[in-house]
Amino acid sequence: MYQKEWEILVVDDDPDMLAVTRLATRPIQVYGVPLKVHTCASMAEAVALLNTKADLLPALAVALIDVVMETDTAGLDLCRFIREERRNPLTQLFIRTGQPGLAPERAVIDRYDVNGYFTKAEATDDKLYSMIKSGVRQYYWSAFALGVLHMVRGVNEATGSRAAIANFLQQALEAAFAERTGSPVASYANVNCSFIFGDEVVANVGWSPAQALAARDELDRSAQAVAIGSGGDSYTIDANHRLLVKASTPPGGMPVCAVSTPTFRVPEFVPAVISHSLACYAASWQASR
Amino acid sequence: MHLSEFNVVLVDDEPDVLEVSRLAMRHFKVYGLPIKLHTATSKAQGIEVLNSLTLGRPDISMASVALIDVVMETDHAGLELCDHIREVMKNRTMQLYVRTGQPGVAPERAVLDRYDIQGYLSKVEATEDKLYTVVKAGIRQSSYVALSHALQDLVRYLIPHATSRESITQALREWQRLARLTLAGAKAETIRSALCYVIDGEFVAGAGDWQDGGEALKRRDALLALPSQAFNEGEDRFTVDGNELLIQIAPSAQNAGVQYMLRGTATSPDWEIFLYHRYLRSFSALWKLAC
Repeated sequence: MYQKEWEILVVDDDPDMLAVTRLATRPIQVYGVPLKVHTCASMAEAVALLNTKADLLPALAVALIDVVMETDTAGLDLCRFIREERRNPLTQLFIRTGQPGLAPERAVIDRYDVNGYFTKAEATDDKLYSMIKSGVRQYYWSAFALGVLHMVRGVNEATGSRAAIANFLQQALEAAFAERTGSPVASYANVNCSFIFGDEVVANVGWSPAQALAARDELDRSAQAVAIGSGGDSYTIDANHRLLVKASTPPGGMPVCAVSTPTFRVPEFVPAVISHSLACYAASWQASR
Repeated sequence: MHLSEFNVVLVDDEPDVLEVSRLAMRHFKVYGLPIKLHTATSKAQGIEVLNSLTLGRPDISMASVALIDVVMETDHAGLELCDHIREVMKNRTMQLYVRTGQPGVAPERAVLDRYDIQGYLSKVEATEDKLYTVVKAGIRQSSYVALSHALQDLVRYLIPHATSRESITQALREWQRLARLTLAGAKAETIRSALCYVIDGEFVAGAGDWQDGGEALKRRDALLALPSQAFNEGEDRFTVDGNELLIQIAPSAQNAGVQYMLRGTATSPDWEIFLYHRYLRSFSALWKLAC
């Protein structure tokens, strides 16, 4: 929600390919957000980049990887490193090879968990565009849903104590927007997000609780709420992309909502996933004291 | 994996294209399982086929991948079908690929900008190898996202029932029953998995061949005798034996001791074990809460 750029990795030992890819991808935007393209000339360089910049891989939406570099299978080894050693199922991996004879399409797809395969002849600018656009969308949806599943699990486990739930949500929000070093994630901007149960701001990052409540009330009054499903959940997005998500609670339950300031107009699945998680948090909250 | 075969939908108004694709896909296998191809020659017929593959709810489909021609009964019939799947059926897990013989009518970039699809192939690009990649990578991706969303749905479904253990057990059984029915209410024959929950040593609920405790508990004991592996965190463990998977959540102040057993149609890939583990941590916390 707070991305100011989508992280993309291009690995190829041909400097011309890297330069051409940079040019071709420069104008591409997904959800109105531009790309940040990292380039590496070998598997070793890519592994070093992912190891030193430890927070890059979880945010990496798409990787476009040549096969034959320092060895005949260097690119495929890099795919295995990402999927198996680093256990990352989310980044969309695309193979782009100049020597399909050395790594035939079917053999690669059978053995490696990659999302697509193109010869350099097939990988036109249009194909690159499709790959990145659909790849980022697919990555973002899966990564967002999985992140929320983690929060739901944590809240479930904290059920019993409202203080513990609030504490977990607060920690999870802070961790989501900070690198392991504690500094803010560089590819994020405009991070303001709050969970509000009744009139209590239970977890909050960025703005003050008073600003969060004011934003909620303003969104509630100004824009038109859109229903999510038929259970009574709804969301509102204003002209500045600010987002208010409200989840229905059982009769007698307190209203729960999340209010935030995304950097782009979020696609419909974002409020849907959020409302889902809010209902889970509310149930845990009600069952706790 | 729960299905005995993966379902792929192919929509094209040229019978030759359907026939050639059918031949090409005959021997495709993903996770060792075969492909079942469903064909339609128009948008209207495509909707019928997709409706017949719906499971329990309009947004849940047994189809993993759809390959859709653009120009059929109208110039944009195929694109409208993509919209129908995403906007009307609300299915976001099916991997959609557009295949067109007339790229001039629907240029690649314009289609990708406007429609929420995974890829675009002109008929020239759609070689047999490309078909192989699209089907295989598409099924893997769709299996992953479908399970992660199904488990999230299940948690939300169970939460209102966390008032008592009887209520959770009832809800779990009802969910399993619905998950094995088509939207029309018939038994989905392609679902061949068995699964069960054993909580604090007691058989609680099961589906498929393990609806009651006897056979299931025997298999559980056999799996317990095999070497197990630790998850990255905590004391939870898992055991894989062929198509069978046993996940054990260690009892703690927040979690009930849960043993979850699955006999799938294929060996569980790593991501499947990981997703079930996340879900079971939530489940066991709910169970603990409902004392």
